[in-house]
Amino acid sequence: MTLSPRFKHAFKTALAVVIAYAIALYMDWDKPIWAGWTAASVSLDATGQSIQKGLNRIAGALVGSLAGFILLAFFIQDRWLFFLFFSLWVAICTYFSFGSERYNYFWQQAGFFAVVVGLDSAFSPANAFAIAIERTQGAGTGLLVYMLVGLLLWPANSRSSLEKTGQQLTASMKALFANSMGRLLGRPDAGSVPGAQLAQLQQRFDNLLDAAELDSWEVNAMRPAWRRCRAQIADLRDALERWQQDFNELQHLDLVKLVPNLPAFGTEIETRLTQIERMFAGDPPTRLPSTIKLESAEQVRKTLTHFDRAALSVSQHRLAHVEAVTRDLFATVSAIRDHEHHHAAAGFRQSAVRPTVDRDRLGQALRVAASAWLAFLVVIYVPAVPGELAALGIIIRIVVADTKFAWIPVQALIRPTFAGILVAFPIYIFLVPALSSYAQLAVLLFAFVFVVDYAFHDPKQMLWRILFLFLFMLLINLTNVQTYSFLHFANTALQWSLLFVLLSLTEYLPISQQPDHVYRRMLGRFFRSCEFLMATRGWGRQHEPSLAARWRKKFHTYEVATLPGKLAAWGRFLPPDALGRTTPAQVQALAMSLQALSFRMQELTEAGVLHQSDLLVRELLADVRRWRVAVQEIFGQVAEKPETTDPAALQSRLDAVLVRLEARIQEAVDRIDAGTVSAEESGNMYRLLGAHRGLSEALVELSKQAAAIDWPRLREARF
Amino acid sequence: MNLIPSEFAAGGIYFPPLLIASILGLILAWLTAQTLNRYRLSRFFFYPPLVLLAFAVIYTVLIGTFVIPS
Repeated sequence: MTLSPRFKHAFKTALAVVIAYAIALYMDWDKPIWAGWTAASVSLDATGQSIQKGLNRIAGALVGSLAGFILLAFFIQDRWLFFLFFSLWVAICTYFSFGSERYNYFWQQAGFFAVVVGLDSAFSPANAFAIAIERTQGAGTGLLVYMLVGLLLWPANSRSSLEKTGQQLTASMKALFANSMGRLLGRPDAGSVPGAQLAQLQQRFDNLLDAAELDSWEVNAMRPAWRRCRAQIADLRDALERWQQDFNELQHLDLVKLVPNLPAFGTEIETRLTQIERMFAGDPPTRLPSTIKLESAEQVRKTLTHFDRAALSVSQHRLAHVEAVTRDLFATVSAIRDHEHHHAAAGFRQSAVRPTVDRDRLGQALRVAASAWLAFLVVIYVPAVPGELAALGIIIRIVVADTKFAWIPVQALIRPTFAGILVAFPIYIFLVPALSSYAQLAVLLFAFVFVVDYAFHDPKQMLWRILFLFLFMLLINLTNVQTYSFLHFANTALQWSLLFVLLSLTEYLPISQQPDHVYRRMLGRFFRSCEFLMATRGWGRQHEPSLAARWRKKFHTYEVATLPGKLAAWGRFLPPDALGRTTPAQVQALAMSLQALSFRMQELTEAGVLHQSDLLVRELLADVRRWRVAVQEIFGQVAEKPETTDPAALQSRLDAVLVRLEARIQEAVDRIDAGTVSAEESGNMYRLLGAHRGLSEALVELSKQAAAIDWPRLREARF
Repeated sequence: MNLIPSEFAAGGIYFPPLLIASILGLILAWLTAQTLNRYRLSRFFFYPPLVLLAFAVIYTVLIGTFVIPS
């Protein structure tokens, strides 16, 4: 009989929880729940993923405990100062926990453990140290137990999943490339690959690589090569997605005449991707990449308008990049397969980090700080709050955890929470008192954890799984000297009710976290950032910008690059009342057009730093500036009211500008001696012109999508 | 009318009357907000979240004064 992965996972989790509880009870630790809960919370599909999560938990516990000690050491005499710095620390941890998927859990735990040391110790330094040590050893035991269970019982190595995901990712990119090439060459549509699917596969690949480095020595030994592979796959995906945006400008061109070897080029790239897929599957490549360079039929090219040349130049540049990346990716995967460590590691560079402030992460950090303060004031000024300081600790911990699912409304937490409490109640009151040995308790624990883990295995049910297991462990409150009190049960239920009241308040204050409010705010920010970027670029820069100006530009560039992804995520959670006659598909279409606009803005920024011929700049400066100012004005308008721009009017305006500029470029080119402008400068000019035109086209497309949205309904005030 | 607040006992635990009043007040405020949303009447309020808070306070005071102590 073959057991399903779901059964194996539930079995391992239940067994690990039983053993972790057994150790904690045997050692007579104060709170055995820490060992049991850690064993349950680190259980993931692959052992490496669990180890990584567990190590993050331990490291976070150490850092958080240290922060808790420091806060107690400095401010133990003054509760207001203590809480001020304490909330600041928790806010900092929340901010950084959104920074990367990899260290998310570490920062969350660093915030949790400061709460544990600072509040659970009830301001007693002696307690604080004992509590920190005990909780950390409880968490360590839970992790160790789960690791041993994971390694001994149906060990699941991440390497095979990593390679399979790599294969799927390559296959999807190949399908995307083939589909795009088919569209350009006029072949029948073979069906598109959704961008969201590629993004999900990429995220899975990234997570599995982190895990495989820990549970597979083969991956660990080739770590630099695997990381390079990850960076190259991300680069290729980005290049392919950007390339999609060029098609509107290319579709009316006869590309086979303009680039005679384009079909052969497409075949070569597809073959390379097929070979990479084969290598991920464990088979050797049947052929090596051939050298191929896009040819250009100069005579036919000269018959094109300058803007068509610009569009072609941009697209050729992108395809050349795709060619280079696929060649490098082939070499890297081949090196991984042959274990040519040094060869593959050579040339690997960590991607440049762009440190800047993320407003949404700041907003979440502020929400956590506001919730912590509200809870603190309630505990201080409202008499007989159930649990008092312990309740404050639990509330802050749950608030920190809740920020991870910021777009899920508080109401979504209420049902699983009270369902969990209701399920745990009869077990705690009627079943646990009837047990007389650990063997009997172990059967109960095993059965409960197994059933919950098995029933809520789907990632979409994660919230139910977490809340059921956590509330069960919290409510039965296992210790060696077991007590049964309805008061404990009632207090816990009241603490959670208080938590929901506070969370509901901070969903509106100080910054509203309602999906429709967040969506509108982000949209306005996106367009204002685009407007700023348009205002700060230009060919006639006389002096270097100041440090503050450079920082602002970096901030807005970051906003433009990241906001479309956030808008797509929040757009899925817009309430039906806010949508009105808008369909979810129209919201996603708007998100895609925003993504296209974002790519165009990035393209323009990249093309803007290329060296341009002074002669051409002088000739075209006034016209390009006029165009820039017009686009800037449109951004200003759509930031206030996205529906104000009429797509037809915008299109005719764009066409008029293109005709006028086309004539101006021709005049300029005729006047300038061909020898004074180098081929590179000419290419750079076409790239820049292509970027300007692409941006305008993207704006027209966006205005079409924006017209479909029921804006009055989205803006309407509601509770 | 007897205006002396009386405690609620459940399983031997006494709950303060204000707690029960505030829970009921919140539930009623939430129900009112849902009804106003349903009939698109919330657009006539300047800042609905604050109105929700005001409803919760009004209901809590009303329940605490007229319903709970009786």
